[in-house]
Amino acid sequence: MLNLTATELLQKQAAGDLTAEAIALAYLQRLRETELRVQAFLAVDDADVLAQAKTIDARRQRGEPLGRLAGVPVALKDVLCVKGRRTTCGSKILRNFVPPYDAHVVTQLRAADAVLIGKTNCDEFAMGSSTENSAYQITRNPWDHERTPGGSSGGSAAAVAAGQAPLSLGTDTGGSIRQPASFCGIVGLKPTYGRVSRFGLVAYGSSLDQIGPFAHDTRDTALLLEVIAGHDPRDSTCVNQPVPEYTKTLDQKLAPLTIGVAKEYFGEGLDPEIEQSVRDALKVYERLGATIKPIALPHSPYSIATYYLVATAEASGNLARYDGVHFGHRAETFAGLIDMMKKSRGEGFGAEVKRRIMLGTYALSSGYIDAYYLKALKVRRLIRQDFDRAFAECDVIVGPTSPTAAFKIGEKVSDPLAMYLSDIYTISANLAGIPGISIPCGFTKAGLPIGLQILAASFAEEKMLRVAHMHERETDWHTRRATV
Amino acid sequence: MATQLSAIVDYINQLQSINTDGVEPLAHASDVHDVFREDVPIPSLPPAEALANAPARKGDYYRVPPVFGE
Repeated sequence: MLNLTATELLQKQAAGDLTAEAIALAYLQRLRETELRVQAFLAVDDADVLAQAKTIDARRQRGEPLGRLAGVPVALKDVLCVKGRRTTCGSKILRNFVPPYDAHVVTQLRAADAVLIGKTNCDEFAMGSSTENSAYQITRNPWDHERTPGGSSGGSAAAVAAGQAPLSLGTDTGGSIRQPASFCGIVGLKPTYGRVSRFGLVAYGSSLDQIGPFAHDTRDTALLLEVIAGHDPRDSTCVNQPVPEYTKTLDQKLAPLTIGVAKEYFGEGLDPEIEQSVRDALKVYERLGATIKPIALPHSPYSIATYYLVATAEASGNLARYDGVHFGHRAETFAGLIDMMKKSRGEGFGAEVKRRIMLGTYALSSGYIDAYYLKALKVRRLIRQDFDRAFAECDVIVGPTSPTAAFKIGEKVSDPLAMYLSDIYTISANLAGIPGISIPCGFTKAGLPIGLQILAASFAEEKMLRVAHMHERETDWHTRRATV
Repeated sequence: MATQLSAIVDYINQLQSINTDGVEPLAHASDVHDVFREDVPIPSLPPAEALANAPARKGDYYRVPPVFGE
């Protein structure tokens, strides 16, 4: 059962071959068997999971209409608020925070009758590329326990890859869905900025953050995106545009199809094994009749520098709210109000969060704002214009998701800049607001998964998913499962 | 941490080499601007729920150290 996709789990329940309770029991058992090695979850409440599943079964028995994800377990990155359930953001500062409301995506999942299976580990406040920055535990890559699952949504990616949940949600501010999807051999999609409401997502970089799905294949990915996408007035940047039925058009091949290939995505630092797998994927598309067209993204080499000014500037504002006053950690001993705030923040935040708050504060400070923050916003427009020009000539841009396969735990923790560079191919999509997907496209000789990134123009998720599905139908990489 | 921050700032300084004369800053990539709703009251959290996460409280108030005259 645990090798079935969400779509198959839905079919088997509809046919009466499986119950939601049996599905929940199987996943919970798998979770208990593997969790000591994977450490993907921060919280799982077995009784609550079973109660949700039994409710679905009872409603099915009564003949009530059920939602699009009825009885399918979904894991949630622990930056998404669930009413009455501890939401820590992987941070000590929110160790005891219990949200009084559900995130919009959680409301959507409940309306679709999904079973919320638990909260997954992540880098603190989604700041990191390996999930090592969590204050609680280190999540391990299901394919190789000595390696990271990527990050910051490493728990959500590892949970799906380890068969602990068929679906999960992550968030992507600079690659935090796509890079862990690539490291864990699964599919991960970052929607267009404004496609999914951020209400109830604890903010990191508000102009960059998007919530998106993880799954084993493109059909499940399309299904979960359909459930979470759509307008929500509680997020003023969430766009009021109809949500296409991604699952209905997924099988339609795109013809003609022009694939843009940017030389900037095949430069120095790209592991030759990754490059070979990506070139092989391009050959698959050529066999299917696609035209491969060289395109230029001349400002993409500046995307990491731009990101680490824009994201950190936004973070320094967003994280100012953790002051020990309204919620979150308050220091036990202090001398006066200011000291209370300083000590609470000093004790509650980890090193990477502190680094980014300092960098963002510096970029916004008087005398530096023009040279740093405003300069970065101007380069951001140049990056966006590169994509606008590219998508006038091609349907999608295809390249590697990350320059290497999963790296070892501890390998990059002492060198933040090296860690940042693992997001070099994903980060510009967030700055430009465009959607991107990572799909499995091979394995290294050492047996580590390799991800193919497909980028599309804003709100072209439907086209992007169809192109991803074309590759999936011709290959079997997405059917490989990790032995945990 | 100072050494790490210096390395990051050195790296970020590469942006200074790009000509951005006449380029408008792009604060966010959404086409949505200035979204307003009707100015009508909507339900909000009851005090007990809003205060449930307070590190310290007194009745329906957040309790903090004295702000003035420490």
